[in-house]
Amino acid sequence: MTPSEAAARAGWRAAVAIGSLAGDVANLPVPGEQARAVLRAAAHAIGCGDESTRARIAARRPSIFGDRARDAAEAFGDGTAAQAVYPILAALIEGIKIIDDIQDDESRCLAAEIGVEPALRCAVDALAFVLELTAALPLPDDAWRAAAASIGRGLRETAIGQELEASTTAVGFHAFWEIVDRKTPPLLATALELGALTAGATPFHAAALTRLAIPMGRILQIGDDCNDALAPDASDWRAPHRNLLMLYVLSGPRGSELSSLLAEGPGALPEIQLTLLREGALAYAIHAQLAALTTAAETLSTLSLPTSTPFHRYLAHSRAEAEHLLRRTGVDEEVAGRVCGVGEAALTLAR
Amino acid sequence: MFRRLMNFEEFRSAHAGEAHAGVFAEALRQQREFFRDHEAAEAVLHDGSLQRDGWGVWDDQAAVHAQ
Repeated sequence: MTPSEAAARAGWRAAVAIGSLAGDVANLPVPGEQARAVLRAAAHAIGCGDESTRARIAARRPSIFGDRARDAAEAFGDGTAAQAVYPILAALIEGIKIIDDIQDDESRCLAAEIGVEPALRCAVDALAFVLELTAALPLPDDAWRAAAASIGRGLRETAIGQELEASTTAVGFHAFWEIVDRKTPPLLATALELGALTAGATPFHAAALTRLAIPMGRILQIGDDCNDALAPDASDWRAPHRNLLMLYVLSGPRGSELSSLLAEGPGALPEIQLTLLREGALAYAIHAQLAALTTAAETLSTLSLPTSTPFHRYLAHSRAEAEHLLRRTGVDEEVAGRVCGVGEAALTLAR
Repeated sequence: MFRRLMNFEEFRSAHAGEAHAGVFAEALRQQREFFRDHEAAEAVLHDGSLQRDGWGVWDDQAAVHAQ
């Protein structure tokens, strides 16, 4: 295990512990104010006073997780209510991203700037800050307990999924999707649940929304993998079996050719990327994206929401983007539109 | 519209035109033709289309940084 891998593992373990703590405090059989006080005390004991960490969290742009929280809040009648949880989601992402960058040995990240150990400390600070923000969340007692439990669960399960990704030796189609489904949906589930709770949904109805997390997690992860494989500074060539596009080609007839290119390092990136395109890896990613969008729509139809329009809007937008991508890569307008179901999505929105 | 996630082997067959997958098979044929053109493939890689069009990303800050 490299020093970076060891540090990342320590970070994930800390994240699991902090997440478990939030969940346990949510279930404490004491009045809500006392539970909040315990969470605040825990946050300060762990140490969430680092001003630079707070500044980085405050500077974060609204994330895709914040967008889904907003959609969930809007589905229950008040999209603006989700703003109350944006700082919590930003702090969660800050902490998780720092550890993830350490794990991936990213060349441009906080750990590269200030060193692995100080960066790890910042990650723990950010996650402790999550506890402090959670303690202050202005929700009625039952909703607050559901929110605290959801935050804890999202953090703990994300960290466990990330650890699994780092430690597993299993490769292939099934292993890939198992890891994706373990590491990405938990935080989306938290975002959805928090958004609904802030808009006044009961804990029961808010929890039902988490069924969208698996297909939405896949949609998110596929996009991430495309960026990590095809961007000018693509980084996933170092762990190719964990990237959908690279795995697709590695497990096919030209897998050994791609392995040789990957062994050459970043200098071979242009040729690697052309190989991915020619072998149909981007096409597979678009196919997987469309399949996940369909699953999300089917799941949405089983939920009893006051309005599902914000989610249909998101799915329609994603379909339109997939259609645009197909057209940009040589597929004619009529075929791209039919493949992506853009017309069908528009009809659903119009209903 | 495609409804079920194919595994890699199923998809390779579809991509190679060996399996019938309705309108999706036609899209794959057209895209395969497009990427046979080396210059067209390089242009797509270099003009930023694949970063800007269609992909949500885990961390928006990183995406902004990359662009």
